[in-house]
Amino acid sequence: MRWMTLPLIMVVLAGLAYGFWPRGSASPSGGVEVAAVAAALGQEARGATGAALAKRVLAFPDDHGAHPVAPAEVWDISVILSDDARPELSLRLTLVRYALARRDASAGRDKDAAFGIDDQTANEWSTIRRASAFAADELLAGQLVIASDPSGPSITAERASRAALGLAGTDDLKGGGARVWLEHWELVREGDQLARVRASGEGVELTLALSPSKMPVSVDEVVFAGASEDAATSLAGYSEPRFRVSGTVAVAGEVRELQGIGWLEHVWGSLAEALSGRRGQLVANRFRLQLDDGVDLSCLHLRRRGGGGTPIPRCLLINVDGDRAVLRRRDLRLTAGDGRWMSTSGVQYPLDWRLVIPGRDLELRIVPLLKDRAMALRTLAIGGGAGQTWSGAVRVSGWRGSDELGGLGFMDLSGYAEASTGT
Amino acid sequence: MLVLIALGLSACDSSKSAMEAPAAEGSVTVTKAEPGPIPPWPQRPGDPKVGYDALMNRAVVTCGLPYDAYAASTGAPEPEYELPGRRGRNAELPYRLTAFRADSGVELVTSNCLSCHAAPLNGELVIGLGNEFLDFTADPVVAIEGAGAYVEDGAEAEEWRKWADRLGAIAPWSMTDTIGANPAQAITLALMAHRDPETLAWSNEPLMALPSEQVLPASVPPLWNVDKKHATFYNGEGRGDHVGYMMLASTTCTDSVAEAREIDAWFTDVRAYLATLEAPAYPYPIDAELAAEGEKLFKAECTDCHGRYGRIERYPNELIALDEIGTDPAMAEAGYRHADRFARWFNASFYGRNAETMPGLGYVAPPLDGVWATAPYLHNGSVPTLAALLDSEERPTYWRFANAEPEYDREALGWRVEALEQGREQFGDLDERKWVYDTTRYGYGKAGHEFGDLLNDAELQALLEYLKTL
Ligand code: HEC
Ligand code: HEC
Repeated sequence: MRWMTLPLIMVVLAGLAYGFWPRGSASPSGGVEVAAVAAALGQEARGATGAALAKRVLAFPDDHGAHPVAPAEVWDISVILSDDARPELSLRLTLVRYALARRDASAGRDKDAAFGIDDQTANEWSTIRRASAFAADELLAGQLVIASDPSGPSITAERASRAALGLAGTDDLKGGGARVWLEHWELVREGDQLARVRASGEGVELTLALSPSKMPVSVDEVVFAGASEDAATSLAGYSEPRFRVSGTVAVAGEVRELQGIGWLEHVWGSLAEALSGRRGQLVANRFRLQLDDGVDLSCLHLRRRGGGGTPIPRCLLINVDGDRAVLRRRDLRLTAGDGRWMSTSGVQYPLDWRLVIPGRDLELRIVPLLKDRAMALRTLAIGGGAGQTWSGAVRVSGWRGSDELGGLGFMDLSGYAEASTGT
Repeated sequence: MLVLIALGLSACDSSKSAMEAPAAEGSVTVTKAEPGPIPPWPQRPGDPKVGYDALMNRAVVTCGLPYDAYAASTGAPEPEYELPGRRGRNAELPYRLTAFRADSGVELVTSNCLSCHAAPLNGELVIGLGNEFLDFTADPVVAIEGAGAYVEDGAEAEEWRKWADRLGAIAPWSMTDTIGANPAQAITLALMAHRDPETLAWSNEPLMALPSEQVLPASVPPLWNVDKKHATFYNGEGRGDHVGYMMLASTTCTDSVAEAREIDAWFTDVRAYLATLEAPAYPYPIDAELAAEGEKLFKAECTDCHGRYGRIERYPNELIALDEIGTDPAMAEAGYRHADRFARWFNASFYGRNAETMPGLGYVAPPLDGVWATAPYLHNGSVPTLAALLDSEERPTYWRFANAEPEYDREALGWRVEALEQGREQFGDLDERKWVYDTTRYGYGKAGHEFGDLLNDAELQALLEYLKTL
């Protein structure tokens, strides 16, 4: 069922990339001219309705690296860090690669085949690129958000840069692994075992080491919890639900040693559908929860924006040993409480949720981790939509049977704004 | 597959707790049928040619998914089979879908009768053959609501909401957990529960007790027997004018008597067309001599109930009592004991104005035309082959189709299956489980119809050979 594509884009990309369309407020570093980029991206929007990626098995470490034939690619790492002394701090670094100019179709051919992208699709994509007058091959855009409670640091920084100038780009590392960087922001993957995040500027200096404790799970599975058996979506990718993270974060000269956990997502493919301007009738809520007992949950909750109908929640439960179980509508209840928070543009977000999974004896409450709600809003400013996503860290508390159980995680609420507002 | 609709009014409420509204209970009694011959009833004339065109191109389910959203969400796959007479947009759609323009101007796509009543056979689509490989195990709500991601604001959204609301309301009755087990009966009853029988107005809240959520499996009967049968449905309850029963799928979205009357006007033609359908001929060699042996046995053992075939045909239209036939009683009992409110609904509604539904405590001995092609057998599809039907010892307790695509077994006569030692619980994965037909479950039983058990091997072979000729 290809209908999965759009919710997927709404969720993964709404959560990840919508914030990154180069727009007025982004600092146009590296000489990027925002309007030109927007025009080039628009080409893709008017192109195919989203070429389908053939299903294929993910292969690591190769898939950690870039997939140059895909018109767009997103790396997103979300972590929650703490030390003994003070409350948690959440950090999210998203790096997006957009292919802009013509890429010699034959150059990427071998890799295309390896990525399961058929010739026709590859050609379509390169035609789209050829139409662009942009000289640069690729554009890297990124966003770094650090949030903590009022006493702590809060930073939202955006950047964009052309890969052509060497300021930004993607590299395959010798011996497996990959590096994607945007000026002083960098995500390095060394084989399957270790990832490093470094970022500096905007008064922050951070170095984090991340080691995965679970195998990657394909994005279809993790987002749709098995609903897209025959999906030929225009996106491929994977999720790594749990990293142990440690490192230092220095804000305004104050250096802290922190520990925590993280969740990485890496997706590539076409954004044509996201840019088509369609908004649909659905609200998409996504939850990524990391419970203290080592279980991770990835839940998607779709419902009608206008109310009514039957909401469809689904979760993928990932056990400590990596075993996975799909939980469908009848296996769980995922509901928003009465509490609403209203953004300045008048859009209401339900920020208080309950997740009950009777078959697993789980009863969880999900609330924002931080007091500052507005911090978590991301807005899409181009592409014809009025997309705005509430995207922030959450705290989980509740019960497994009679045992208390806590956890942390992330919540992305998209599609709430009515079509007429916020454009 | 893009969502379902139903027909088939055979009562299906097996819940002992189903509350009957006491007032209504006293007011109209439901006539129950006695076993024995079912009398004929004149059917309204129609034009089969016009009926074929209508079946190919007109919508009975008068709501649907906006075409644009259909195309965006499915990629608008090419039709697999060419169906002569499909016009305009319909020529581009898979056979099980029909496109039409709603009053709002929005082009909608909806499912049609062929989604259950047509099936591929040797690479060709046979209209009237029940599809026994349909998968009703997936939660339909996921696709119905999910499609909303592609629906634009305004008129499109309104059409989508209506369609999604209706299908959402009947979702629990649209699911079974076994491939081939068809929920059409339960869907139909659930739809009735949401409508006022007088006005046909829809109510989001059910107006009477809903059918049991324990959905009983039905096999889809071939439609080439429509002309021979005096009453529709397995338990023979569909007495009187057949059109009202056949167009019950319209209860999904047809919200007034005026609209139902419009459909009724062209559905007499559809009935007339269905009455012209012929069973497909057995496509492999037949041993004529052996078949002639078999014919003698058939006349001795089977004709009383199933009729005569060949140059002079005779079909007795017999409703056989449960204690005589001995097949799984659940479906007949549900219709006989727990569905009076639905029978009353039907009889009081526009659909029943020329008809009277009369549940019987038994099953009709069906015509056996084209019986080689209608596996699995019995009303619940519990017996996979004719060889197994005629030798009750040989019926597997647990079985599954050997292939996801029908593959004909020329020895046993039926779709090739694999007998299993254990039931579905042996498989952890739902996708494997759903393929297992478990005859120990409620409504899925394989017992009864032991009329072939006393035949020796040679006689059995001869009888099977004869059945190929029907
Ligand atoms: C969801 C699957 C499904 C759809 C769609 C469907 N049917 Fe049926 N139909 C069935 C099943 C199952 C039965 C058997 C019900 C019973 O006998 O109780 C049946 C029974 C019938 C019968 C009675 C046959 C007999 O031998 O007694 C007729 C006639 C019929 N359907 C016509 C139609 C028409 C016309 C349509 C389209 C408006 C339609 N059906 C749509 C599943 C379906
Ligand atoms: C006493 C009446 C009676 C006799 C005698 C009888 N049958 Fe039947 N038969 C029925 C009934 C009733 C059904 C439907 C039972 C059900 O669906 O549960 C049936 C069903 C069948 C079916 C399944 C049809 C289908 O499409 O599912 C076949 C085949 C069949 N009979 C063949 C035979 C043959 C061959 C004989 C002779 C050896 C025979 N029957 C003798 C009453 C009879």
